[in-house]
Amino acid sequence: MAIVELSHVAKRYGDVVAVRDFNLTTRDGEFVVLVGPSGCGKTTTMRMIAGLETVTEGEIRIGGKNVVGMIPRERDVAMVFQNYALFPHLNVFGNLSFGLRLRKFPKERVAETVRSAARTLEIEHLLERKPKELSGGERQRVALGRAIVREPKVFLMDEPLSNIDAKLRVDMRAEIIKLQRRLGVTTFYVTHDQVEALSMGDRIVVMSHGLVQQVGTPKELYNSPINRYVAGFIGSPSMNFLRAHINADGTVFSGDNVCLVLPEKHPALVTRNGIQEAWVGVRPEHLVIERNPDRGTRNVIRGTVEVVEPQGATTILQINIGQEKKIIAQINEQWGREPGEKLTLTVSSELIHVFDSKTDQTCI
Amino acid sequence: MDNLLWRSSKWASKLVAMLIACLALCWVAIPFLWAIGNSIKSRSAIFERGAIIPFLQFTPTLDAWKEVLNDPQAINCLFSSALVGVGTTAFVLLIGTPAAYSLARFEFRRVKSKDITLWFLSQRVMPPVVVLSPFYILLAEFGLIDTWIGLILLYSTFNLAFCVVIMRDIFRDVSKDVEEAARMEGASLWQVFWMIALPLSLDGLIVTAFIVFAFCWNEALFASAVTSQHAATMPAFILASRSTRGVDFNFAAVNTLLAIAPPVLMSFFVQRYLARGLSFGAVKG
Amino acid sequence: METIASVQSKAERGFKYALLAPSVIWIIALTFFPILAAVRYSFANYVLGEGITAYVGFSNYARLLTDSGFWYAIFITVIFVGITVPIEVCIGFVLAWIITIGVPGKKLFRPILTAPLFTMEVAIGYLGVTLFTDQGGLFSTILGALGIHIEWLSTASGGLAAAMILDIWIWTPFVFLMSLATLSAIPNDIFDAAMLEASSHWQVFFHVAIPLAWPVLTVAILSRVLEGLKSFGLPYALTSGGPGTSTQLFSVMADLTTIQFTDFGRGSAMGILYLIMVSIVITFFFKQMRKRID
Repeated sequence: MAIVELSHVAKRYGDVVAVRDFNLTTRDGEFVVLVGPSGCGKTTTMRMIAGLETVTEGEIRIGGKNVVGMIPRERDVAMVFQNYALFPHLNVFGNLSFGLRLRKFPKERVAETVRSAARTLEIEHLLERKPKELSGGERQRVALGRAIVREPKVFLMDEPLSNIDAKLRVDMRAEIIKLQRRLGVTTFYVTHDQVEALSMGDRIVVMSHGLVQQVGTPKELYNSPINRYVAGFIGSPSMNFLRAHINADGTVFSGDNVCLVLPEKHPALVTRNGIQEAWVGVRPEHLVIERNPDRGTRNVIRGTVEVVEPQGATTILQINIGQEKKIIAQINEQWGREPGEKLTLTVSSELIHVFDSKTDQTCI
Repeated sequence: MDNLLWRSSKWASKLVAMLIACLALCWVAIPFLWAIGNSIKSRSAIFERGAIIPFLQFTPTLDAWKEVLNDPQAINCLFSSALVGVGTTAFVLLIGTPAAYSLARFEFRRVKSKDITLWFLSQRVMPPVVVLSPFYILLAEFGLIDTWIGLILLYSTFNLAFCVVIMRDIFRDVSKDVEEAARMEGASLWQVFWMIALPLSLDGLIVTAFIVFAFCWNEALFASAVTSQHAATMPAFILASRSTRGVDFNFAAVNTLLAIAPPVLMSFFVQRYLARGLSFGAVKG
Repeated sequence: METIASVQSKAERGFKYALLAPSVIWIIALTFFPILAAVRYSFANYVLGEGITAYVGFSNYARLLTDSGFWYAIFITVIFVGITVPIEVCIGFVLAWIITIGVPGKKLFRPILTAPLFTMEVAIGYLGVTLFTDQGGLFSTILGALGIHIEWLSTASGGLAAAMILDIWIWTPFVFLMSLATLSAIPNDIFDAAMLEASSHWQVFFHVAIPLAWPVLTVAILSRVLEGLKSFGLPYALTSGGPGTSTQLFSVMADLTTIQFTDFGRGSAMGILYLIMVSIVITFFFKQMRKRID
């Protein structure tokens, strides 16, 4: 149980920059998710905390102590690997007790601690088995068990759920969260899956190209993404972006079929910053079908349905809005839309995002 | 086994294939059977025509075996061979395996680990006659001619490179993640090597040990050059007997069997990785 | 890179060197220096017990290069390798192919057919004397019954032929083992797919099996050539180099010169010259191994 602080952490391999200027201070017992596409530096960051990679620049403090230059053993952190990395030549008991035995714990205490961890994860009946005799889900539990048995200061989990099937994954997610809450150990969790990030993290760090894009709670990331990258990365299907012209009165035009209206307070901001050209972002799930065709021309998007993808509870529509542009809408209807249908969509003003066309930063 | 190629073959070509395989078996077996047959014949039966099947066509006898096994020099040479083989194998694995691990897992500042490995390999392929004189002189100067230590010293030199190259290849198959997991559990680098990499490479280690042992057991050039009596191994013994006893069918048969049995029998138990070991890792499998 | 644990405390930084050092030191001390010593002796007269009595410049080399015996030994060694290796490769590969495509009993064939590989060359050479002698030897008896009379051990060509036959017996399994491992590693689907396209087995053999196995075969061939050039025990035990010196392969000649006649200067010069010649093959071998080692 400890606070982890990373200040100005950077990692370079020769000329290649893997991570640059990473800053983060966790709360004690926090569940932090590092998320981003492959090659964004999230795993490298985690490995630097683990002590499996050297730190080129900056400091990492665990419980107030700078651990840069320390070997993993001295850091007292535990890690769950993507492919579990169980010791193939040891049985489950041997795997769980490995760290304790290295630390020369007395025999009875090792057995006792291992049993209690095994009980927690419901793998007591597997203790005598070798890893190759276990199912994927069971291996996953053993890997988790190996991490918790030592009661380390920090858990590190590197995409631990990516190798098990979809249904089990949802169950394991919940189980990991429950376990983490109960043990109260500060946890770093790496994933490329933003859904996993949103559903698990107390706080999420979105990374891209070695750079931290935004740090925030799931709600913050979803509602107020700091830039176009985060806005596009968080949420599924991805946010629609339209190149648009903003008038001083807060109306937004993009082509002939899009006319949106920003909230009352915003036009002032727009004019003050002198923004005229911008990216406008609208999440697919925020688009609503306008049932009253005479509603007028303000705050509407008109188009023709091209592709219909029923999802069961909802339906995803690909809509052509003219000039080769498409938007995606996720509507709360189960079936019944057809390609070729003409639709009018609307969105409430508070849910519209505006990004600077040059810097991609959020301006409203 | 059950592939299209075989199934779609005509029965005639299947027959030819099986015939070739059986011929190969006979070809391989003949010298062994010849030696076994001769080793249990009496001196007079050796030259009898048609004395092929024991008990039916001739009366087997263990006289030749008794004669050889009662010869103290033969026993001494067998013992020397075993001792030198085991000693060399132990020493080579002891210092070669850690080096192999180091080359498998780490990079070095100036020279790439691959180049160091190739440098080791170059020691192995060099013709031994190149160092015959210096080694003989070296052993002579240190009074190690005709000693076990001298032979172990030489054989270790020839086999160390082999052990390093092949064990490096084996170690590279150990999952890096598993080693890192051990690291995270608090293992020192030495503990990762000793408790993870080594046990996971046991099969490869056994094959390496076997090949090193077989090389020492069968080596003739240095064995005959630097030993005479005390430390003479089987190859030296056979070369010496050949010139003193000439063509003696019984004696040749028994000694051949004694000399070839240990590595050949062992080879039946270490089939996995054999191709990989003998090709310095060029063949995976 | 497969480098683990790049974060090392000061104490662990020396780990990799500590593991590597004993082997490197051992090899340098016992290979590098001996080769240098061999170079030195090759320019000298060395008398056992007295050491170097005089430096004689290139005269050891000059005497060798003008000695027809030296060239003859090299000549028959090259012939020996040039005949045995191609035969071993052909038989070994075809056998491996036959076993791979489905002759029943693979588990039985493999250990038996590889057994000769681990036999002692000297012992097989000595046993070979009883196989090839014309007084009741197995081959002579069988061939004699067929009306063929070959003087195996009393002529140079007969002796060399006998040595080659036994060399093939011992070393064909080497190629067989390599080929079998390589061919077995090729997924069955590839042969199945090839069979659907090809019109005969021969096409699959020549256009699929050989190209796929070729990289490994080159390594096997080069290893065989290098080992063949070292041949000592088998021919020596079989013929003792005779009649006369007519079947003295290079290593046998070098051994006799150095050890029997204790002419270390001349022996060293022979070794060095041989190393220079063999290094052509070694270079090829290294080019291949560099590709295969990662």
